[in-house]
Amino acid sequence: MSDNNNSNFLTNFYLFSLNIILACLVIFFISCFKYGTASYIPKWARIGLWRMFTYKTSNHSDLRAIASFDDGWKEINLRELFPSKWDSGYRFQRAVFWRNKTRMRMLAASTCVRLEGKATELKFYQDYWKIVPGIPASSPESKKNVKEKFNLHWYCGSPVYTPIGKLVK
Amino acid sequence: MTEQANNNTLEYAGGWHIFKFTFVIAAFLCVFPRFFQIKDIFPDIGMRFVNGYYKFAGFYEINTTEAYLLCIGILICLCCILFGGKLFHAGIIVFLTLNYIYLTSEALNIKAYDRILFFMSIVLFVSPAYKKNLLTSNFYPHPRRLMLIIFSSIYLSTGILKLLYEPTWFNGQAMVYHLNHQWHAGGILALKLSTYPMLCFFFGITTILFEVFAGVFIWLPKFNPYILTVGFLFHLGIAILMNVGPFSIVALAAYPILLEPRVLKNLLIKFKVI
Repeated sequence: MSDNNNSNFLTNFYLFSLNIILACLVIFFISCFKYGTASYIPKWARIGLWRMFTYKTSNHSDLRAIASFDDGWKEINLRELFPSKWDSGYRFQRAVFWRNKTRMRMLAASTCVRLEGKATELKFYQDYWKIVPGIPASSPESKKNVKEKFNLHWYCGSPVYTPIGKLVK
Repeated sequence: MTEQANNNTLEYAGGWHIFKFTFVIAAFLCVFPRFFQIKDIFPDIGMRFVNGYYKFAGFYEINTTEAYLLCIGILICLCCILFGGKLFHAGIIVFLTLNYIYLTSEALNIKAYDRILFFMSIVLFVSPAYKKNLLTSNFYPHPRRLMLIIFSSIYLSTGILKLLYEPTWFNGQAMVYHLNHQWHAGGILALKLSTYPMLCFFFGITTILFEVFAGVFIWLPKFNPYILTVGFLFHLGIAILMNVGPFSIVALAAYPILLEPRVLKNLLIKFKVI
């Protein structure tokens, strides 16, 4: 009899807990949805906000860098230097990355390290060009009107703060 | 616990048995590719995207060896989940913990499918998936309702945001540009399709209609199998035409649970699985 009571109590407790979780999830997702178009999203809401391919993207963009060596400024291949990808492209090509100066400074400091101290200065630029339907981004036909935007000038060896505020010399 | 109690009608539980496998496959496909990127991400601090949303690196910075160990640990946890029994719940808790440490160490790299996987892990934890003989038994509908809430929220949220804030989804322009996106588009086929405006118009409209209606009709047993059939094609389309990693596989992993249990049982009987 007592075992039966215990079992019933546990079952009821389990089902009650699941109902509570269910109610909490509904409230949580509705609260997150409120930030669907907001420019600032609180940390707690980012995990439950589902915003996928909402807006049209009209431009291709590419982050590129030039470095000053003993024999002058030269284009460097960031893709070779930082080869890993985040499924949909190189990790440093994400807009949330190159739009943020702290992250860009870290990328610059890291580039200097990966160039093994051969470079003294770096300059980063963001290239933009219009998407032409059916034409690959890399084809010359697509890249007819590339616009360039300066992003960052960096002196190798400068102290840099990591995005969490830790000083790296 | 499989006996009737309260007024909760029991449902066919075979979906949980299938879900255990689909979850592990999806999680494996999320974690395994990261293994090959560790040597690029962790040797110097610059490429650890620590300025993300949840900064584990603010407490402790893991190094390359520790990153490899974390990945191996995650894969071991997936084995524990797969084999079920006593290690099942411990496997999920350790999986969530290790995955949290790894992902928040390169926080900017947390993707939609990582978040979906997180919510699916919670459902798996409270589900009967650890039990044996699930293909022939019933269980309470509550864990399935949790999964329905998660997917209902995903589809409704993405659909409503497109519906309200991007009018170009209605003339196919948004679809044209997404199929041409330098990073997100999935190759030659996507590029070719983007040159057919009527097709992109059709894809755009069906995307919004599916996302909005799926959020609601997924709950109704009568419409559920049809909505999920469209959903299957929708995710298959994403997998073929977009370059978004294992997103479609993660989403489809939950479909055995989302499918109306009675329909799933009939399907399994029809294909002589049970």
